[in-house]
Amino acid sequence: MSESPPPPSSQNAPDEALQARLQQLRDEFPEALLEERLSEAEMDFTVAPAALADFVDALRRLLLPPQHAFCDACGVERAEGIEAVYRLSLLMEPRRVTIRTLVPRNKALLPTLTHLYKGALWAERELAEMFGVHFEGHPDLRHLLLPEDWQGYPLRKDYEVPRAHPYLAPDPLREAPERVLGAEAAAEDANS
Amino acid sequence: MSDPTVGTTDELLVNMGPQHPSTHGVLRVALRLDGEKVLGADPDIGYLHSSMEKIAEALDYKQYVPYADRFDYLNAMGNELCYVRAVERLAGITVTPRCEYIRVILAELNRLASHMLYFAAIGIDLGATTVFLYTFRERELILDLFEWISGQRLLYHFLRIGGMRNDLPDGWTDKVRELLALLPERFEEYDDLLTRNRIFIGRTRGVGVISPEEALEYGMSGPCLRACGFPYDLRKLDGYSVYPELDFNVCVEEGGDCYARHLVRVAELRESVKIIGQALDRLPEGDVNVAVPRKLKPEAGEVYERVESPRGELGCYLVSDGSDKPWRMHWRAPSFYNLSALDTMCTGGWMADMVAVIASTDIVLGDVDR
Amino acid sequence: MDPLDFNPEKQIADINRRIDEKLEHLRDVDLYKTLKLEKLERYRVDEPLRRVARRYDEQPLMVRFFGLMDHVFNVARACSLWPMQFGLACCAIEMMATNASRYDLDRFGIIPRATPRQSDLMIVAGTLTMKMAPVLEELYHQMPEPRYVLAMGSCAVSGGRFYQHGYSVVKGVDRVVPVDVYVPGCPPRPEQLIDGLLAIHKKMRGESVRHPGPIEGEKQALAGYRTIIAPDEES
Repeated sequence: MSESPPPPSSQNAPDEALQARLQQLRDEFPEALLEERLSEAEMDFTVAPAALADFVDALRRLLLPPQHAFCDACGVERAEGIEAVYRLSLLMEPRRVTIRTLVPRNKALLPTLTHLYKGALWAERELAEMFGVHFEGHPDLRHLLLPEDWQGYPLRKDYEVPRAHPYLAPDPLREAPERVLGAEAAAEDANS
Repeated sequence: MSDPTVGTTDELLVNMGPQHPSTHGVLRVALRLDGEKVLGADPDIGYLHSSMEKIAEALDYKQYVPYADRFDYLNAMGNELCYVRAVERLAGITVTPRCEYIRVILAELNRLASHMLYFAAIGIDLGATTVFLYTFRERELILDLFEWISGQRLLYHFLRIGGMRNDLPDGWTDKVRELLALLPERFEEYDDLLTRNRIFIGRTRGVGVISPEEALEYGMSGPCLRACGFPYDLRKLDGYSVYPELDFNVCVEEGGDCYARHLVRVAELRESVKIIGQALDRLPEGDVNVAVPRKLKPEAGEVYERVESPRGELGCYLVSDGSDKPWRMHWRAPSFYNLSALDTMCTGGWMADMVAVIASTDIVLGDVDR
Repeated sequence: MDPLDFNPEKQIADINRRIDEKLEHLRDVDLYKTLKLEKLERYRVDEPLRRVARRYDEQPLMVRFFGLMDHVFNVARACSLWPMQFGLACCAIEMMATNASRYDLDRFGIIPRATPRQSDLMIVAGTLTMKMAPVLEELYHQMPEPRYVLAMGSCAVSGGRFYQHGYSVVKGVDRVVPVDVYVPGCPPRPEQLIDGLLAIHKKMRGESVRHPGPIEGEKQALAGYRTIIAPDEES
């Protein structure tokens, strides 16, 4: 029923094999692989948006063990545009695998990863509604967390909260008590 | 002329609405049914989406700790631990050993409380109301301990960046030991009521099965993944905080069904008791707090810190631009990914099994919707 | 329109218009075709009783009899208050804890009901978001009268910690349904929730068969904007 922790596996794997496979990956994507940061603790790749799905597929084939999990996908707004950050977790080692792409704000298009990982179904829906990124090939890109008729992309930095809506309007009793209670009562309230 | 004794069936769309007697919160599942058989289950979430990630961009790092509590509100100490560790890593702050041990004790106590609530919830959802009353009796004892140390029963705002609000009061550790002595026989009671109960086994064995490959694809973690056979426990894998110095087992089951997930949590209760006992024995003396600047301005950069919450891998992705407010905070919520597999787990089963599956996935809507 | 505009007459007119719209909808339902619709608003189970009680307003003995009857009815209702648990977020856990072994609510006669059709009270426990607000309103209308609403937790009372920066949290449940009792806290302790429930009892004890319930209650709640519960001198 309970097991002792698993023996460390790929940390002992020969480094040359890993380097050879990395080189193979680099050769497959000469222009698309923009940046990489490799260390014992992490593998961080930055790719061009159009090549995202192919790159992740190649990564799965070449570098990652057959049993690894989809961890997370989120968006960050940077100065140059919107960065989508995908994370995968390796089950047997604590190394972090991160894949990033940057898309411009006005033309935020990315290929979907739903054919590779089912976890991307919901994660991409959330990215789409929060940042306005469109995922080509996603089977079902409805709003996930927000109501269907929500306007705007909340997690962008230029988003304005719709304060005129009666449910979201600030409370008159708190912001302008003299209008609600009358001038003398409000002054009394404030002094007490 | 068609045979009048043979009827035709139609697909029925039934709403398992956001207001639901189950205790898991506001989840809506749009079910496609053929009679009582589930053809498809589409969870509709967002009824508790409280814009917590956007709010982080408007608040200080220190001001955000009470908001961090309230994601997975059954595991407030765990959430705080994740956030506080992320900020400390970003700002380059190292905490004292005593602080680390106390944090581990509190996180494990919270794991106990959360799993007890899982027992209560799955019992009451499947009709066994007695379990709810029994587990809440012990959960109240744990909440008393939390109230003693932090002043609050449920959402603590206790762990702070660089330490915690105050050191342990006198006599707290003795009370914890009393509780740990009392718990094993209570766990046997719960097992008598649920785990060894023929009706419960009948309702959960073979129900809500998910294959190991699909569990990985969906991004499941925690007890849901360990019930599929993967010994993936961040306390062992990452070895964060002082877990490498403590001796405990990873609870793994095979099968990927509701009963396997239940057994994993049953085993985790006992492991947590072990961990707390060891941490109490090894608790060092000293300070709990380190000096932290008043206006905390970590240098620009980003960090992804993860902990093992009772639901799975809870991660905090924090991006800093050098000012005193975060640029972006994203929470990797375990229940979000565990719930996305609901369609796979429920399709082909009966409608009555939906409740068992949702209860055994142990989701918390605050986590899912953020 | 200035979001800070406070206009109770307009809000009351809005409520009346919405009630009329709902009655309008019922015009199409077969069941009500036989009734004259101007009587629909006054079609209440206790309407004959109300007419009888009002007829005897001048006679002190009958007034005392109806007062005694009021008292009996109110005590009976208060001792068996069945809430519909509308547990949304963290406060739901404290509500469950109040129902559980230590702070037992069953000793007050309070049994949680899952369905609005069989409940007297709706305990809105937790954060109300924009997506959930229409659902809350519908559930409120599905509750039979006399019904009460208890807003539990600061998110339900005023939007709580999401008041300033949140974009999707409704700033208080009373923007959607009229609230009778507010229980602040984050989350409120079980003892505080019990105090709120006892305040509902107190409210019930002040009601009389002569005066109809909640449509008036909505108007009263709006006219005062907040129900002011003054602390008791004796207790």
